[in-house]
Amino acid sequence: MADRLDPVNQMVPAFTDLLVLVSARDSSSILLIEQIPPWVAQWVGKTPQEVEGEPIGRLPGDLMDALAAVADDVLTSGLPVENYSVEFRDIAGREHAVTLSAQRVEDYRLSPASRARDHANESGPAVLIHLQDISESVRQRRRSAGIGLFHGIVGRSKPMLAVFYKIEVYGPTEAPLIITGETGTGKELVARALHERSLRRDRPFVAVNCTALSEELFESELFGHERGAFTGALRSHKGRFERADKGTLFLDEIGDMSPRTQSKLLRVLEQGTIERVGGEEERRVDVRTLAATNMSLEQMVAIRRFRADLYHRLSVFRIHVPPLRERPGDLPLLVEYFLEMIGQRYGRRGLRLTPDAMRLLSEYHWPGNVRELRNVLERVYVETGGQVVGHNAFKEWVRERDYLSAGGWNLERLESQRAAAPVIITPPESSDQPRVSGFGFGVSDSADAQTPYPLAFPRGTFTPGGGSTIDAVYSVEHPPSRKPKGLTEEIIRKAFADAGGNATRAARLLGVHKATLYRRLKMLGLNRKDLETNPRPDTHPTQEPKP
Amino acid sequence: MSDEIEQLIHSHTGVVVVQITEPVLETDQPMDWVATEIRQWRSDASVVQVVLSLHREWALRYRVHGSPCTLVFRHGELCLRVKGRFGRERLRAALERAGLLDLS
Repeated sequence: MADRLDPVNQMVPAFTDLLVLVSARDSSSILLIEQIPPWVAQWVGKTPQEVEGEPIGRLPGDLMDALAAVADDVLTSGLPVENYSVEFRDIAGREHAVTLSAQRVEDYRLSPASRARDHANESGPAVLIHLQDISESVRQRRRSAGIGLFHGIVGRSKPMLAVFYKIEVYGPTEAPLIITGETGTGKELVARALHERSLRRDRPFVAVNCTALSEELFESELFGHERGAFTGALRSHKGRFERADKGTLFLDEIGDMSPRTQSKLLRVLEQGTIERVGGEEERRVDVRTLAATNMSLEQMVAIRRFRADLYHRLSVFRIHVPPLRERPGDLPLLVEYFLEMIGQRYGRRGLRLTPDAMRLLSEYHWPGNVRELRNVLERVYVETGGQVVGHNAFKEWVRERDYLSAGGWNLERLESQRAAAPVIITPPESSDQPRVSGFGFGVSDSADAQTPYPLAFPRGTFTPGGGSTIDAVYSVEHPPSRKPKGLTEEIIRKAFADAGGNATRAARLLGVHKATLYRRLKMLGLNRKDLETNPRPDTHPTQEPKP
Repeated sequence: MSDEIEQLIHSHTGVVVVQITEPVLETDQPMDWVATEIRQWRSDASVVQVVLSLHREWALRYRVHGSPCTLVFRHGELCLRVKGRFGRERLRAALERAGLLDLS
């Protein structure tokens, strides 16, 4: 700040963010305002002209008290103050926050037009306070805290709080750690959070995706290479280990690492040294290793695709990031967070989802997890012109998901069933979703009841006519329990085909006991032979037409 | 809670360091190192972290309106108040000036 001063006159030009306080002639403890930013004066309901020349202690408000206290400290101690943040209410009761830096200046000369001239010495010590309005960023941070943001990870559900707790506990340790979880759950964010919570936070965080590189490239990328080590190695190259020295190395998808690289990695972890490809010199590296995988490393160890010694070396600690379907309560928070983020990126704020759209999303099982949610929201955001997004905006996405899903959902089939039994969607009874403003849950009106889209989502509870529960679809991984009368011939045939003609598996897919399935077949006048000879009569576009 | 802080300040025989913080106002890393640093020089130091919004009234007694701020008490009396962020050198200079590095 001092370098802004005119070296001859020790006067400051009228910076719009600078407050200048000078000592009164009668008493050095009284500080007069020589210059004040207009936006600061506004907070006390005045103009700069009205307050310049006045003692700062006489102005009302918490900010003025804070500024007077800082100026006193700086004036008496001579020590500057840097990045001191104050939150306060203005004269109208609105909340604001500023960050300020202050310093004492000797022989400050009043400006010729100064209103403080009558009560202050021509020259003397002054306190210059540089102010920065941080109200908006504080508001944003408060919003983030409200949605449970922890190092960029959104969540307030029990499983996520457990993850946050582990990050807090394991972060400051030096031990290697494995992060497990399905694709798109945010394993890299957890790794970054661990780095941020560690003593290495001021050092580099280097991430490497073990799937993305071939074995030869991977070793060179991880350990570096010397010039001439292989064709095209025109100069020596620092590997990720060296770049992460004193910091953290994050090995993503470590389950895809080749056995040869695994053994080299093990040696590095045990000895703390690396050898560049084509090099002879051993280099010492100090790296904390974090690894992530969406596979079961235990199973891979069992089938000898992953070294047991490396597994034990890496998995001192473990953090499992739960899939989105296991933390449904976080969905509204994530939606709110992503809409805010996307809104910032595209410069269009305030977009929100209707309760129906929100309900639609909550019925989905999210195989792509948080990444998939973010992507679909961005897509809908870009495609939608308005400020409020209803469930129709997700129509195309639902159709795509319908055909891509593991359960082989068929929207047309579902539509026909839908027509037969008007459906009202209700939130899951066991839902622990918090009621976030703008995302209320209620019973759909009749217009909503006409939409077929939610039927493609296997986790929903569908209540036809307010009576018994029918779930028209099934899921391979999470079969819903169903009543036998909901099993139409079509559904059974499809399950049978998907199960490769295995009745036990078909029953499991349908969420019923094998005996129930046979009973139902009997009721429908079918037998196994019928199903085997004519396995798939539905109208799925990818299927051959019924002969 | 504020009474407990006050009690500690007055009952502790050594130096009491109070670090006032307000997470939502601060974007930089927490100044946890201050406690470690002071303990290096003053083995009798007891360190307390206080969240400003929870103890605003107490902080105002010591003319603290914002964060971060470090207060050092000796024999129940405030002997150092450093507002804002600072480095090791500044801390050392401030402690020296307050006579808190006299270890003889």
